[in-house]
Amino acid sequence: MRSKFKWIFTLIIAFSMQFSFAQEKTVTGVVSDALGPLGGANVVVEGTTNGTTTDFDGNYSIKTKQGDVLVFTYTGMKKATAAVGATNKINIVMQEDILTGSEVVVVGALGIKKRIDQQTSTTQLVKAEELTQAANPNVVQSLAGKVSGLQINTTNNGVNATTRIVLRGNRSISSNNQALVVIDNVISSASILQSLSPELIESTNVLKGAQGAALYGSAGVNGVIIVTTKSGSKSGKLKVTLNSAIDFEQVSFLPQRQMRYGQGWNGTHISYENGGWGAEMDGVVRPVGLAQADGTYIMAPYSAIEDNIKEFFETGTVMQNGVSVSGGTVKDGYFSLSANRQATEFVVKNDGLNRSSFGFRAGKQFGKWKLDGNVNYISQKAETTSSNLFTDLLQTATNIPVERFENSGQAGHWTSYYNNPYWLRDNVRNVNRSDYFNGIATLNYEFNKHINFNYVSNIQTTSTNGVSYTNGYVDNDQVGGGNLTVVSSFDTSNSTARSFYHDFMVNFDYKLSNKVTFKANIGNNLRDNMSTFTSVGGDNLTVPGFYNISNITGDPRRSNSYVRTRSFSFFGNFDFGLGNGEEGSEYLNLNITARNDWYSVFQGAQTNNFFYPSVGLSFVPTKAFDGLKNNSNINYMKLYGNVTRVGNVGSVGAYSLNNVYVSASGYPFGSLNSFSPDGSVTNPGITPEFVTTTEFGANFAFLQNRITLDAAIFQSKTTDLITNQSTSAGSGISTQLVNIGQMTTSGYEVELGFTPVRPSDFGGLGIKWENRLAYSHSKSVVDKVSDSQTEIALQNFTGTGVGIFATEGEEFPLIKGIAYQRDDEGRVIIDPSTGNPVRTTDYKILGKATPDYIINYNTAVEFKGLRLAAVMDYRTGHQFWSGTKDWLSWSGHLYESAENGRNGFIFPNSSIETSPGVYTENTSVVTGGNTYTSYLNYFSNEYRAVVENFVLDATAFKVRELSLSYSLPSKVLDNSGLSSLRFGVNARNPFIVLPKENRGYNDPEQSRTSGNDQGLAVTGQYPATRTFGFSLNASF
Amino acid sequence: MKKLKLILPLIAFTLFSCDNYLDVNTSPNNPQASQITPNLTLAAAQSGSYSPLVRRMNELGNVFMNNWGANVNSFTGGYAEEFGITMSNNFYEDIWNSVYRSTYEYSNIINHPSADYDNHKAIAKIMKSFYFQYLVDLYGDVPYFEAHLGTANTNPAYDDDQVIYRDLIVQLDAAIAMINNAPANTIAVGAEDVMLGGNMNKWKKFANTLKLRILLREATKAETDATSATYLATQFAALDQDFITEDLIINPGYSDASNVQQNPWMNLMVELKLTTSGGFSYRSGYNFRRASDYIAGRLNASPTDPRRGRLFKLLGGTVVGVKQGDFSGGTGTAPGAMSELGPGVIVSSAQDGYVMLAAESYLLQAEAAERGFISGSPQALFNAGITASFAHLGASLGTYVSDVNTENGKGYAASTDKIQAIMYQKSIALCNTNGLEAWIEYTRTGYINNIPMPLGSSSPTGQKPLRLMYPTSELASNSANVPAQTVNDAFTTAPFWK
Repeated sequence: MRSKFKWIFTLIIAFSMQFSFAQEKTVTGVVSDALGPLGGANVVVEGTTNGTTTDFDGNYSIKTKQGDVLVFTYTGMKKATAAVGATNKINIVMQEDILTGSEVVVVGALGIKKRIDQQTSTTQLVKAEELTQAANPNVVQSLAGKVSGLQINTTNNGVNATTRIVLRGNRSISSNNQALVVIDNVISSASILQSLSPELIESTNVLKGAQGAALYGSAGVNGVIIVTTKSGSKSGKLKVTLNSAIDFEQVSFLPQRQMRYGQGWNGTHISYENGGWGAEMDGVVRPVGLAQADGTYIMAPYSAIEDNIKEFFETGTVMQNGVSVSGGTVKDGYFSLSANRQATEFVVKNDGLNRSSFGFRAGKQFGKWKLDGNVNYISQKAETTSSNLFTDLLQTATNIPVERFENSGQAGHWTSYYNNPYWLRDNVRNVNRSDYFNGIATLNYEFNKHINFNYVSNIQTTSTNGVSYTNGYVDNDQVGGGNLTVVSSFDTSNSTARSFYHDFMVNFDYKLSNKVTFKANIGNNLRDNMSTFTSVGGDNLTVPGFYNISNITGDPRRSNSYVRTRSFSFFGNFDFGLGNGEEGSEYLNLNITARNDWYSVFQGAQTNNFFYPSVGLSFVPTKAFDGLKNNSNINYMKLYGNVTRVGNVGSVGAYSLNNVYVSASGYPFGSLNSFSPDGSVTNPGITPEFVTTTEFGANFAFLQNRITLDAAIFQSKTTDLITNQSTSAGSGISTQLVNIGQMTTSGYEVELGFTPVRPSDFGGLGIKWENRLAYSHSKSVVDKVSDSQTEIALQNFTGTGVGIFATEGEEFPLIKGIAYQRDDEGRVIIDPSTGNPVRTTDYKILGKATPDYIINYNTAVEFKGLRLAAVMDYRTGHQFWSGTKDWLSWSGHLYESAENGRNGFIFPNSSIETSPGVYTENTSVVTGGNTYTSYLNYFSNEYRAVVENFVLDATAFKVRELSLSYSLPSKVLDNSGLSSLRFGVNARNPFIVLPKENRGYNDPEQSRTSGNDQGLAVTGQYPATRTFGFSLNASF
Repeated sequence: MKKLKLILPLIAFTLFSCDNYLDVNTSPNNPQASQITPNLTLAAAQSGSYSPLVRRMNELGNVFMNNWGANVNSFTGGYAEEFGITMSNNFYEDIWNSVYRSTYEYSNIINHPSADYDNHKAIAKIMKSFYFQYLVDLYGDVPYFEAHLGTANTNPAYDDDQVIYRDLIVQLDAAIAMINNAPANTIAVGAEDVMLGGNMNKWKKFANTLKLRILLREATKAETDATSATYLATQFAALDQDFITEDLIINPGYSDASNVQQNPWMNLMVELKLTTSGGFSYRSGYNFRRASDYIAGRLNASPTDPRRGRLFKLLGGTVVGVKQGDFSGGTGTAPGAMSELGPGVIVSSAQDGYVMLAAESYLLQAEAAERGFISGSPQALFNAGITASFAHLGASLGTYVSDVNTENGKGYAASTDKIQAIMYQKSIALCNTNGLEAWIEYTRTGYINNIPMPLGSSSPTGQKPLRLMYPTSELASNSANVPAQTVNDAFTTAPFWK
């Protein structure tokens, strides 16, 4: 390809030579690529600042003169040139840059831009197109499956789902393990990112390698997601874009429950039971539930209804509408203005989210000064009930016609032991309103061609108001000893958060010699975060339906807090490049960074400031050796490596080094107030935990980019782990934050990109098919806890007998719990006197919460404006504790509890102790007794106590996104006033395949928190959902 | 260069203001420890430590004493481990954790640097001894001398149970001495003492009664152990026989204003709001707990115990109980209706909490007198104990004292084993209120073996355990110190006093 191009180039020059006089004229033409016209391509007269940009049909028009050379550039395309000759029309077909965009400049830490060649640690770019292809309003979720080494879990589903973002595994037991989010060069948060309209995002760069993030100091210790929003400076012309999407959301799957025995207990049908321990279903019409308001009973056949609890859920909708106007250039001034609105109605009636976001960005260059201002405002209102109602909903036998109880209230519910989820939905309500403002000002002054100054100043404020109320219900009947009483309550809270972020940088750019380039960025960073919180609430409202603090009885609950943290840093970034003197020819690049952070939260500790260095090297053989240059088999190769040492301070909070007392439970009692010592303390010797990461990587491109291979291997060693150590209760305190232990996280990623079909193939058929297949593995092993301890409990539910642990020599986080006692042959030991399996008295290792590996597959096919894309991933090798299975087990709903009728059974692969230490196969002792009652008791008391029964394979194959879009050809739009029009049909999470033992109990991504104690999926969370929808994008 | 000059001072400015800039790390949200004096924490320590006593410790005792059964008609899966006698490191683990942590502040008060709080410190010593006795009774060897040091020692060593017991007496003597010799400038104890309102004389009585309890715990062992016998003889000779004569209560101002202000026992049992007809709206904590078949038999047997209608709600004029371990509710052998907890113990959200009953004081004295440790008539003290118990429960005494006097094993006169009668009366007096004390006393004397085991239970000895197993939390966080222990050990090895 390259040689052909050269020939054209020579030919053009040859033509131009024939003209000896120069005359100013206007040249027009169309810039296109193999797929069609290219809008937004830059056209510049070489050696001048005279330039323009193509419109959306690829048209350009430029004043030039014969003999000039026009330079055409476009991201991802090879630079093209054309000499201006006699003709006034020059059409250019641009070629894809076969160097995998190695010339592409990527925004890294602190906004420092580097070419791919120069990067000495792993990064991965996610294009805006990929982010928005399935119209997911939640940008964080839409990153899932697209970046190798990045694991995004939707830990709790709902109108505003919570996610956990981990890059390359966990490095810390108690500190934060989640990646940093940086938006427009300013530290932000995942929650802001997920409320940002995806349409505003220009690009997302994921800094996976520790060195790439080293300039952020401790904040970037877990990798960084760098998000850059659109600035609208690409095209000089005014551009108006409209986007619209509607999605329909449904529950993906629900736990499979037994359908043989109906409502009741001990084998008897009891119409107000929560249990599924009734008689075998016979189809006879019987009363269900408690008496309705009019004294009658809801009658229904005593037979199973498939997925009856699904009736509780509705089809939700997600509507997104947005408009943006942009235009201008850096030189003349640019602006972009956008407004987006999202309205979500969740699968639970009346749960909804309304969000409006506005963005304005403008800038201009004034000689040596460059100014950019960026303002965002997001206003959001979320109305929800409590997802705990799902816990109540699960206590439903399969014969119950759930939807007929929608208006029955508590009094007429289908069971007297659990609340009516419909009643809860209508009577437990939370409204949360928040307003977020973000303003960023960037000022750049070019002192001379070697030195410039850059100043970024940012303020972010969030104010939130929450109102929650629960209406009361007094159960006067208490049928069967149940109690459906709900105490009414009202709570309201206000919170504010304000953060200042300042970066001041001096940037240097020198050529040290003919071949050595040197760039440096030296700067200072300040952060100041302040938040306040005030809440008040109370119980037993006097006037039902009136929600104000004046309506409570008794002492109000109240609390307030003020938290302020500050940090101060100096940093330096130094890049050396060795090349042949030409721009972009550097084949050997050295990067050194250093940062020193001072923290207010360490005021009171032995030292409050810490130093974090890094060094990295990259080598590009395809640029270094003549023999490898222009090699069509291996067209690109880069090798790189780096070492970084950064501290993680995530778990040392403001004031944690203060020795304080806390308000004691219940106090003040009238005029008597009293305080208790804080049971969670921080050891005054605390220092950050240090993560030392070594990384090596390689990038290859073969056969003119048809095949690319990116691989990286890394190891992080975390020493002096800041661990929230549960102390012996004998010490009087509960937990101590202290530096103990060591952890090693290692892993690798291999990403294979292949483009089997290119537009130019098959005689220029115009089909493009791109694929990316990635395999990521990471493993975190706790090397040591402390001299006196071998494990740390992150969470221990002693009543249930399950917990999440960091255990010496084991992977982290580890799921441990009560297991079956087994003999040497692995057989479950049965107590011959009771028939019950013997269970362990101590916790056994039952699983781990992080997958062995994740495979991501992304594919996209494009043909004549049609684009079909899919994102899927497969995670395996990990486990989770299913709270749902546990919750269904004791009350007779478990599928397994009815598979073979309800009689005792010989426990498979079991043994009995015939004499001390001698175990013989059990062929006679029956587990679960000989009656329905004894079988029930086995499940209620014994089966449920063995946590091993509920730790399930967390493997999941998910198709996360499917999208089909069609862009109308520009010809069709010619006279419509539109410059582009695209329709899309998309689906999110349309298919999920789970292993057989997970009978839809929980989505294995679910977790009771987004913290480090992953692996416990509880019942008070909504089931996973999927969406199907349409989208429309138009611009003119 | 002119413009560079502008920027240099800016950098310099940020540099030099750095120290002050970071000085924002003093919490405005919580008081600093240096601001807290003993009078600001005593109430919280007293009410905080009482909660586990009346909830989990009381529950464990009442279940092991076979006072409580489970309402199997409405609940499933309850008391599975208790009725199975399934001992593990998780079994009632929270007792260990909550007692150690809730008594931490007693140690802080004792160690408070100011010399002006001797009365507060004496109260803290008495209360700390009260709870550490139970820790020994429940577990045997426990951390004591190295306990409650906070971050200074997060892995406290275990001390010998007998050595701890001996030191508790030393500490109680020290407390009494501190009260007697408090300097004039000692700050008076006031409303922050939510047990005795700062009445130091009553604190001395309580300290004496506690000494009596601690010493008597060793009395069974002293029957055969000469060293113990000598020790007890010496201690009893020095014991001030001024004991509590009224129930020792705690009440910081319990009310139905909020969950955390309810009496912690009542918080388990009733909702804040009454039903529309003015009765209690019961919580599942109440609905689940029912009289056991065994206690029903004891209370219903002739002579009928008038306290039965105060301890449990009568059904058809009697207490109806369910056999522990009978899970066949509904259609099975369990009764269709079982007696609920009675009006003598479920009074109101504001009711007093009971730390030690006068009845217990009298019955301790009866035993000490019976054994000849103190002077006084065992029969009279025995009768006083019954009378105090009736008063506590609001039961009408009638002729019970004389009626029961002729019952072997229940009344004093007719009993061949007087200690057994004392223990029986103690078990009824403490039923529902402090079951743990009754269980420990039964374990000490061995009468626990007369109480039926739950149906379907399995135990290596065929009996209840003699102590609890060290909790999982200790195995995880203090593994180097926690003594090795098997499930079997919990059944075969007792604290030193047995």
